[in-house]
Amino acid sequence: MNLDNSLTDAQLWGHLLDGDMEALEEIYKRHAPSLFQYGSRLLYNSEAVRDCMQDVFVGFWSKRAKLPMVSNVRSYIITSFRNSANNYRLSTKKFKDSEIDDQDYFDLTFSVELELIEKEKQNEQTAKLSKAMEQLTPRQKEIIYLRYFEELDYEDISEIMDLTIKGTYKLNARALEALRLIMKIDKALLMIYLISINKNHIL
Amino acid sequence: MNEKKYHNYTVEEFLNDQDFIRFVKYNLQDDVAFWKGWIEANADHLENYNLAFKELKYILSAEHIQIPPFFIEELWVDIRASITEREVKKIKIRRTAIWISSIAASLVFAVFSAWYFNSDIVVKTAFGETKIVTLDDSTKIHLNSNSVLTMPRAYLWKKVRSVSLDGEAYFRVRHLNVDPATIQRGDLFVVHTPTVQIQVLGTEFNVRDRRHEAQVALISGRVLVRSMKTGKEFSMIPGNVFKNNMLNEGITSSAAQSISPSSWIEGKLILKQAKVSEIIAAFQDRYGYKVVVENQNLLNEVIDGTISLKDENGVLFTLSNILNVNIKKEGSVITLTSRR
Repeated sequence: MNLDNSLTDAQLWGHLLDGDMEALEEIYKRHAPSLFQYGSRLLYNSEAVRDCMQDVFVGFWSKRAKLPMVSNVRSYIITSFRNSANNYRLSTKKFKDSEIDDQDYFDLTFSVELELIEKEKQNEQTAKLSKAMEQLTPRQKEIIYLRYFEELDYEDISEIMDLTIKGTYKLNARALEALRLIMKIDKALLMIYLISINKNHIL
Repeated sequence: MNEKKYHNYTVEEFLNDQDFIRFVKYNLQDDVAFWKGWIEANADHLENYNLAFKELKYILSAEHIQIPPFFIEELWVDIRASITEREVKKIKIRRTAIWISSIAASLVFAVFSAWYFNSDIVVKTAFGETKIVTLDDSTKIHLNSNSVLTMPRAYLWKKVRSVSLDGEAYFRVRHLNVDPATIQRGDLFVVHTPTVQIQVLGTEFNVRDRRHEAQVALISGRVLVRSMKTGKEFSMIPGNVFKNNMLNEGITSSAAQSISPSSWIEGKLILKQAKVSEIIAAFQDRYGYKVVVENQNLLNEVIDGTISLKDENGVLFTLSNILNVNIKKEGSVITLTSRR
């Protein structure tokens, strides 16, 4: 079969369920980069990110007879990855307790463009900022990532993060609130930053 | 683009608006043109827009994680290899054999457990024969002749210890209940007969259920008897005897019994004003003969004393002497004829 680039994700998914390896490859190529982004934020161990990604796509092939038709393939892939990551976390929980707590981890570090800040102010400001960032919980970071980077809707996010839809709205609202606190501390940085984007993009 | 009331939007509403997110994120030409126009038209309602814009920009400033070179390509090769490896394994007969045998093993286990948990152990006694059965919880059951005792094979695994009886048996039930205030289901022991259900904790009692007439005699402890005929319940104390027949049912005292209910386990009948008909019934139940008495008046004669049950000839010899009758045995029929 010759796969057309114009096929939608959902159409490709249908081909995959029919046993088309090329469809799996195309799905992989489309989604692996962003899955890597998400995975690297969710799991501290980069080998584990790789293993879980492999798990997900090998699983899609071996279980294709039992997979459901899905409309949002990206969200389904992320959900599958998170399940795999959860299993990994559970399996490692028993062995290591000394290292970073992988059970509760999400890496999302915001950065203003540092070249815009005078060199001598940089260290002081970034230290302040990273301290403020600690106020965001891993789950708040995760929902912000899924909402604004993966652009998933609340229903998909609720599925991925195993929340009710109401709970998802709440978590997002709280995450934005916490973010606003960080931004207050970081006002100076942001002012500089805003000037730069306004220059670049709008007016 | 939809005409949305952006000028009324809160910061949160902006941050939940797909079109706004797309604009801030991707700067597509159409979006930029729209928002430029909107900003000009709403120059005095820009506060929330600006805050939302700031916040989203801040969010989007999160560090991008660099994908190692060739990571995507190499991982795809690994995925393909893993898929192929799995599919090869699947065809391997050894695998299949292990798979089938493990299924077979679990099937055997399933069938075995189904049998174990659902099958019964049946103990029968012939005429003239008695048996003592000891259950897994060391409860002892002394089974009289011509009786059938049925109990679950997984006796100790059941929530309630229970057995069925058709005929006569003497029970010495192991007491499991520790705290009399709280009786657990597992403490109970239940005997089912065709006409009664007897619930006990730990006691000694004799049950007889023949020809649809039951007799429960309590030696010690407490039991609850439920009549299967009327559904009524009778709580018994030691010395009580519950009886039912076609017409009525109720509690009497063991002192009033013409034949001591549990004397059979010692191989004898202890008689107190016992009618000949009752003795003959006990004899028939024990040895399986049909006893015909020519002179019906004899049946109402009463006897005191003790008759040995240990062998049939002993009983017949005693009867023939007391009643002054001749005994004729033909197959399974015994005829008692008055001596002249």
